[in-house]
Amino acid sequence: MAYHDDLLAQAFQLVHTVPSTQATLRRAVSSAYYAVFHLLIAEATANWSNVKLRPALGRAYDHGIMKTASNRLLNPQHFPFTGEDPQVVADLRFIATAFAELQENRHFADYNLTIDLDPMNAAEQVKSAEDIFDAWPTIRSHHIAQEYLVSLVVKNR
Amino acid sequence: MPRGPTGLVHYRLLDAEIKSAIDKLREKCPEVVDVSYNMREDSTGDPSLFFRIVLADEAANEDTIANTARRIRTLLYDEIRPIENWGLLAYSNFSSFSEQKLRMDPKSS
Repeated sequence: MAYHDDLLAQAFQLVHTVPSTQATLRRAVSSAYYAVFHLLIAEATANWSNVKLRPALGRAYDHGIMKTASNRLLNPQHFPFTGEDPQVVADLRFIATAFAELQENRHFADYNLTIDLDPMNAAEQVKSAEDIFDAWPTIRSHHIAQEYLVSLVVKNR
Repeated sequence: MPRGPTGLVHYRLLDAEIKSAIDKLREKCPEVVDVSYNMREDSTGDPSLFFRIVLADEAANEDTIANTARRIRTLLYDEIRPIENWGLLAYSNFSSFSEQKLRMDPKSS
């Protein structure tokens, strides 16, 4: 299995740990986020023909730029996707929304101990990551999906 | 003249619109027990809306939570249009009614 697949599997193992603790729930959310983070990077760098250099290229991806790009895509004024397959657009917007939510929740899970993380919240985040894994293959060949991958590494100017 | 998200400037209008959207959501989704929200910066400093959505216990299970959450987010965000209408990002977290009772966390609004 690829690294991102292992991370998603780890997220499920953690969120299913009984009894749950704040450590297992928070690490589950964190693993879920990083599963998607590395999935998107792997999909983007797969376009680089030199296989040995793909991991190095993957280091160019920045969490903040990826989140900004994902949130920009959700604005129909900037991305109306006129003429595109509505289902592909809906799936792409779901992936962008879910990725941004996961990143924000990862930040909470890893750093904010002022409020406990609810088990259902953690489960929803892990399942959401799984849904991204399921949705991405159905749209990866479409040009708007590939353009999204490029936008994840290019700082908006 | 400095410009910022419309939601920061017209907070009362935004609050009224959010409350209307929540009312519509609860009509369409009876499994939604409560919705509260606050507005603050997210982890990267962007002005954002944070929704906390409480679901009835019978609706809050692992098998259905992802689909339920996706449907609710779509309904809520399509009504409010936080990005295009208000310049705000939006995030939602879900918990069950039982979890909420245990938490004893003050509501944000």
